Amino acid sequence: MKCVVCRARAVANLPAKNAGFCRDHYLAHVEKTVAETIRRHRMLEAGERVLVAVSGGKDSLALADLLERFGHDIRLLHLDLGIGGPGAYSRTSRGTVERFAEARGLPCRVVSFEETEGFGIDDVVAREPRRAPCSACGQLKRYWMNRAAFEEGCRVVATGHNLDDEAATLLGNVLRWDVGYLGRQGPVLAETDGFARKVKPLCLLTEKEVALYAILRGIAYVRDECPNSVGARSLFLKDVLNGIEERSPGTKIQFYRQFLREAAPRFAEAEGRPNLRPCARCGAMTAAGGEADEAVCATCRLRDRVANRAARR
Amino acid sequence: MRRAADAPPCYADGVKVHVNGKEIPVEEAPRAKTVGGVLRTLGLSPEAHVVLRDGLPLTEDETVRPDDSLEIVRAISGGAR
Repeated sequence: MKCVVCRARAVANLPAKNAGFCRDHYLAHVEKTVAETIRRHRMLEAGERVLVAVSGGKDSLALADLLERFGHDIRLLHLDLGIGGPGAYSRTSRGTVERFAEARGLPCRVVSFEETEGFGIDDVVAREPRRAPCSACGQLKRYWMNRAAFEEGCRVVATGHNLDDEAATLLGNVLRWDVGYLGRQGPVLAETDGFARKVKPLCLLTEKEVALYAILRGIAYVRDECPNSVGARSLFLKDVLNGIEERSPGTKIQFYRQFLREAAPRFAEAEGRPNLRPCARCGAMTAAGGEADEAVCATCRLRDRVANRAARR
Repeated sequence: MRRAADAPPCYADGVKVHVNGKEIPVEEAPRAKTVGGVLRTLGLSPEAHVVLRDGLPLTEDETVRPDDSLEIVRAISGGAR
């Protein structure tokens, strides 16, 4: 297969775009796609300081690489989740991010859940063995992304969500007709009281496109999977979508793009904005509590559950 | 595993394949002519895997040579929402 631009030998084949690319033209294709996504969705303002959430995986490190290349003022945030015990997943991830940041001279803030919360995700698993830890992990991640953004003087947080992530989430939401999530899903989550703006500049690149970019740029990333993701529903939905994609190239991008164009605005309009107020415990803004006088946010309720289980032991 | 006498000579039955860092036993290694064929034989989706030779990505139509050492990297990751 040859590069569609220069006819040199291709290193990447993109059936959805009916195109092959050599190394240089592939990198240019990725950069152009991401730059256009940022511009079209007005993700970042000129000169704005951006907090990039980096796990150590290919997506977030590729995102940091791209935003740095584009000349954005970025700083990195790594959340040390406390997964896999000593010497394992979280320690490898943290080391990978720290080496990436040091080699490029990028400022990097590390928040260790074990240090700041007094418990890591392994402790959540040990204390709530029947519950999937992914929702607790996601809850704490969102809380700390917001908190760190404000502490670091950033109004915007960029995450490495790719097209496969977004299409799988969309499929999951559609299968449940989860109108609330459908009304909020998109490449940009606007800044609201107490919440930084969240942007996903890689949302129109497939997971394989991002992996190829990271490999061709020589980015050292963590290839191991989170041990808790085994059997995760999102992985199953990604496999289902890739099965369709193989038969019918372009399905994933069309599914997501048409959702953004045709469906998302209707869901957003129907759903309205959630009623936010400060958590009675930690002060973070929350939609929890309904009509009750006092609201306690989901993060504080998680902290309570973990503390109660620990006390009972 | 012996190759059938009438198999084309380019069938890569000496090819070494690593999937996510683990080497596939020789007897299970795919005997395919192309990168896409290797993935199909192993039941791996080309949408979800990158195949590398000497660290460089290969497109699915690339020919596999008998002395090749291929590294297959799964590109899909994720947890629950």
